[in-house]
Amino acid sequence: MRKPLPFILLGILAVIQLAIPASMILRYENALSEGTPLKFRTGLYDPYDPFRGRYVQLRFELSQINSPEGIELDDGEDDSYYRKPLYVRFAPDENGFATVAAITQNKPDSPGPWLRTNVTNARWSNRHTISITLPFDKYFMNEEAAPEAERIYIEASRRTNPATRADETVWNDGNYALVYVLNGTAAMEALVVNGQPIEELLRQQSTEAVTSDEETSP
Amino acid sequence: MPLQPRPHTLRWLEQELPAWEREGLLSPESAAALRTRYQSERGQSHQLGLVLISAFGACLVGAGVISLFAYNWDELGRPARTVLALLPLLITQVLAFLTLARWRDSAAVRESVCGGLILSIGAAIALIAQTYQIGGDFAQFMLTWFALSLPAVYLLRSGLGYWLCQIALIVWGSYAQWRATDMLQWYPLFFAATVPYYIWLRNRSDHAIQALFNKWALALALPIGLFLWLDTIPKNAWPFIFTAYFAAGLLLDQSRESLRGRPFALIGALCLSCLLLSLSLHDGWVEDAAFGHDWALLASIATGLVWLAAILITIVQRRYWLLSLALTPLVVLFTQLACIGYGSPDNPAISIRLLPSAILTLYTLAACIVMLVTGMRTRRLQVLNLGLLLLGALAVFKFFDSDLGLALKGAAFITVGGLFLITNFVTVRRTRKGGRHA
Repeated sequence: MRKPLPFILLGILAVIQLAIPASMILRYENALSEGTPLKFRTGLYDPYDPFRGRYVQLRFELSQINSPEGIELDDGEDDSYYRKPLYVRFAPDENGFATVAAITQNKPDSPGPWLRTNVTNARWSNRHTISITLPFDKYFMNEEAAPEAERIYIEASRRTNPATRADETVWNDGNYALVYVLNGTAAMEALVVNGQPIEELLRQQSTEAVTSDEETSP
Repeated sequence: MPLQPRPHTLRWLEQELPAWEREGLLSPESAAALRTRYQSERGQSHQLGLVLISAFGACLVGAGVISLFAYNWDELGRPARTVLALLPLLITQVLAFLTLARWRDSAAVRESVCGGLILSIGAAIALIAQTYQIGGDFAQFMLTWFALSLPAVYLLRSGLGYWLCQIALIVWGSYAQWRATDMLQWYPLFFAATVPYYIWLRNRSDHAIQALFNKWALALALPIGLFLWLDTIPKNAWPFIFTAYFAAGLLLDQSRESLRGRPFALIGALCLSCLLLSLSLHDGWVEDAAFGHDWALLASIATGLVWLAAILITIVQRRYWLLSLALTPLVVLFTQLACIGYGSPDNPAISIRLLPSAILTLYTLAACIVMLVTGMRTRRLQVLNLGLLLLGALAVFKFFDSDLGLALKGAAFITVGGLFLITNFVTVRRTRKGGRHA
C-alpha cells in the first residue's frame, strides 16, 4: 500500500499553487469593483517580456512628485531614500485625474486609494522632487497590437521642441491610464489614447484601413 | 556516493562473466551475484536516454504553452483567460497525483510531469499578471515561481525540476542584484532550501545518475549565488573569500570518482587557476580597504574556516600536491595584509604597486612547478596538464601585462612550449613502460 504522506503533501502543495494565482485574481477583481477610478496621464513605449508577452511600458506624469513633508533631500550624495518604500495616497481632481493627497513613510491605517511605491531617485537637482515607480507600469497587449499602439501614441503625444530639437512627451488629458486603486492594489482597466481605449482605437483604424482598401480596389 | 561504472564497463562485464564461469574463475553463484549487483545500474544507464528525452519534451511543451499565452489573446474575455491560465496547472497537478500513485518508479514520467508542472506554474502566474495588467516586479515573479516549484521537486524526485529551480533562483538573484533589492540578503536561505534534496539523493544508490546531475547543478549554482549575494560587500574582500571557497571545493570533493563525478573539484581547480591568473595582473587588485565591513569579515571568517578544515583533511589524507593550488587564500591574505601594512598598492610614494602582482606571479609559478613534478612522479596526466596549462596561461598573461622586450617574451614562450612537449613525452613514455612492466 502506498504511503499517504506524499499524497497529503502534494495535495497541500497543489492548493497553495492554485491559491497564489487565485488570490491575485480576487485582489484585482476587488480593486476593479470597489476601488477609486483614477486617471494617470501617460507616455509609453513598446518592450517585450518572455513570459507575459508584448506590452507597452508606461511613464507617468505623476512619477515625479514634490518630496513629502519631513523627508529632507540633502546634499545630492545622500541616497538614504533611494529605493525605499513610500506610501502615496491619491485623490481625483474634478476631471478624475489622480493627484497626490499625501505621502507617508508608514502604511496608511485607513482604507482608500493609496499605493506603496519605491523612490527611484531622491537626488533631483532642485532637492524638492522625488521620482517614484508606480506598480502599474506595464500594459500587456496582443503581439501585433503593441507596436501599432506605440505608433499611434507617438503621433498623439510627441512633439519636437523647437528650442532643443529633441522629441518630448506632451502630457495631455486625452492620454491616460484608467486605474482602480484600493488599499495598495492598483488594477488597470484601460489605456486611453486620444480619449479612446487603445483597443477600440486600433479596431477603428483597422476597419478604416479595410474600407479604404475596398474603395480603392477596382 | 558509490563509484558508478560506465555503460561500456557494464557491457564488458556482461560479456566476460560467462567466460570466467567456464574457466572456473567464478562459481555460477558468484557470477549470478555480480549480475544482480550491476543489473540495477545497467537499468539506470539505459533509462537515462529515455529520461532526458522525456524531460526535454516536457520543457518544449511547457515553453510552447508559455509562448502561446504570451501572444495575449485579448479577444477572449477575462474569465476565459483566467480559466486558460489555470487549466494547464490543474492538468499537471492531476498528472502529479497519478505519477505518485502509479508511476512513482518511472524516472521518465516523474521528470516530465515535474517539468510540466513547474512550467505551468510559471505560465499561470504570468497569464494572470497579463490578464489583470499587473506590472509588478520580475524578481517577485521569479521568487514566487521558485517557491511554488521547489516542493514539487522534493515530492516528485525530479532532477530536471532541481535544475529549473536553481536556474529560477539565479535569475531572481541576478535581477534582485541589478535592482539592488533588500530581498537579496535572503539568498542563502533560499539556496539552503535546495540542499537537503541533494543530501537525501546522494545516499540512495537507485538515484545515482540524478545525484550526479544535481551535484553539478549545486556546484555551478553555489559560486554564482555567492557572487550575487556578496555584491554588497567591498570588492577587496572577494579575492580571499572566493579563493577560499574554490580551494575548499577542490579539497573536499576528492573521491575515487572520475573528474565528471567531482564537479566541485573540477570547478574549484579551474576557477582557482583563473583567479590566480587575474590576481597576478597589475590591475587585478582593488585598492580600497577590505575587512572593515561587517559582512565582509563574517563571510571571510566563514569561508576561511571551511577552507582550514579542508586543508586539515587533505593533510590527514596525505594528498599534499593539492595544497599547491589550495594555499592560494593564504597567499592572498598575506598579500592583502602586506598592502594594508605598507600602504595602498597604487601608492607610488611607497613604490609597492608591483608587490601583489609579483607575489601572486611567483606563487603561481611555484604551484605550476609542484603540479608538474607531482604529475611526472605519479604519472598523472591530469595533474601534469593542469600545471602546464596554468604555466602556459601565466606566460600569455605576462606577455600582455609586462613591459619585457619582445625577444625575452619570445624566449619565454619557446621555453614554456618546450616544457609542454618534453614533460608530456616523458610522462607518456613512463606510463607506457609502467603498463608493460605491470
